[in-house]
Amino acid sequence: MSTPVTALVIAAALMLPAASAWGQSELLFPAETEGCYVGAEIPPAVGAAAKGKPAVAVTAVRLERGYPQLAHEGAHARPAADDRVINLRVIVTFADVGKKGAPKRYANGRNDLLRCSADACDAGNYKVERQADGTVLLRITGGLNVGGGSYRDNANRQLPDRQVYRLTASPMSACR
Amino acid sequence: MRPTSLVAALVILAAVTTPGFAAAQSLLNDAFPPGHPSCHVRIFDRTEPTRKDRRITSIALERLAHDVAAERKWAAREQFDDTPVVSVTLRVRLRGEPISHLARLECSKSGDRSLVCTTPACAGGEIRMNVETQDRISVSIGGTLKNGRFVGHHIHLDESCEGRRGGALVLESGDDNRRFDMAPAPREACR
Repeated sequence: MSTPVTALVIAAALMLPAASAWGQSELLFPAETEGCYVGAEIPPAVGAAAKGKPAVAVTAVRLERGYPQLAHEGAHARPAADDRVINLRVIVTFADVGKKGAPKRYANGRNDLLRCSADACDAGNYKVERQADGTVLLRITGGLNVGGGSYRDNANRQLPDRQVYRLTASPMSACR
Repeated sequence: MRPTSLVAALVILAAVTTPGFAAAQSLLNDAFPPGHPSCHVRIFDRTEPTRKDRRITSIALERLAHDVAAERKWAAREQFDDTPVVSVTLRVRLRGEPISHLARLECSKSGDRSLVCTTPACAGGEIRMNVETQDRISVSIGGTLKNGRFVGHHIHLDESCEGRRGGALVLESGDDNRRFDMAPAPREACR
């Protein structure tokens, strides 16, 4: 694990109490509440069926629900709807960060739409599931395309189907 | 042309020819004139107390020749909701630091007279610009939700993202830097 990623994980662990209020809420991703989850891939169990692997290893995954997402939710509220819908952004750092001009980060759309129950949210191609220990699992169910770089000079990658990442509730600073 | 396409075209035509749309577009173009460089620097309200402990000592938005060229290329392509329309360099000097920090921003429309600007190298942060009048734009970091609660945010000031020793270099909203009013200025003021 690279030094910055190690530092990030340690910082997230040290600051966990500050983020625990969000992690212990009644709902996963409660209304009008910013939040950040940070983590990495869960290695496959011994003997488990082989999963697709990204071409380049993933070193960190962040789930960001900050001001841009909350403002978007407020501006697109659906008072008549009976399901809970939130916006989320998935930000991915790969092992080749910064090498050969590779983008530092990759992300999906700024305001990905997820339909939520109390403990799980579904974007259609990935799910976020709350666990008893307060962590969440990001489960890729249909391939997640992420892009990085500028509008003129960008690159795209995919987190393949059946990849699973365990993420820890963290202070918003961990999602910067 | 199919009837539905014709109706859609008429609806779009009606929208873009309304006085409100034209005025908003004109304000955006006045603030960031297509094909021409621009410079905006922070202005202080006369009633605003002078604070010697401000973290940010100067902030400027500059569009140079390469920004204008980028905008021209974007405008020539098919436009989507997230297609950037303004390219700008954010220059920030922080108290006690000898150098200015630069961030290349790509800005897409988020309303009639508003832009959302991001650092392409470090996904996640953003600032919002609103063209208030011909002579004033406001820059916001974070904002207030409908329940009245302010939610802070950030923008990366370099392209290192989390790879920088000591943590990411970001401009984050604080008590004295949630919103900046900025006015057009000569190019020299942006240096």
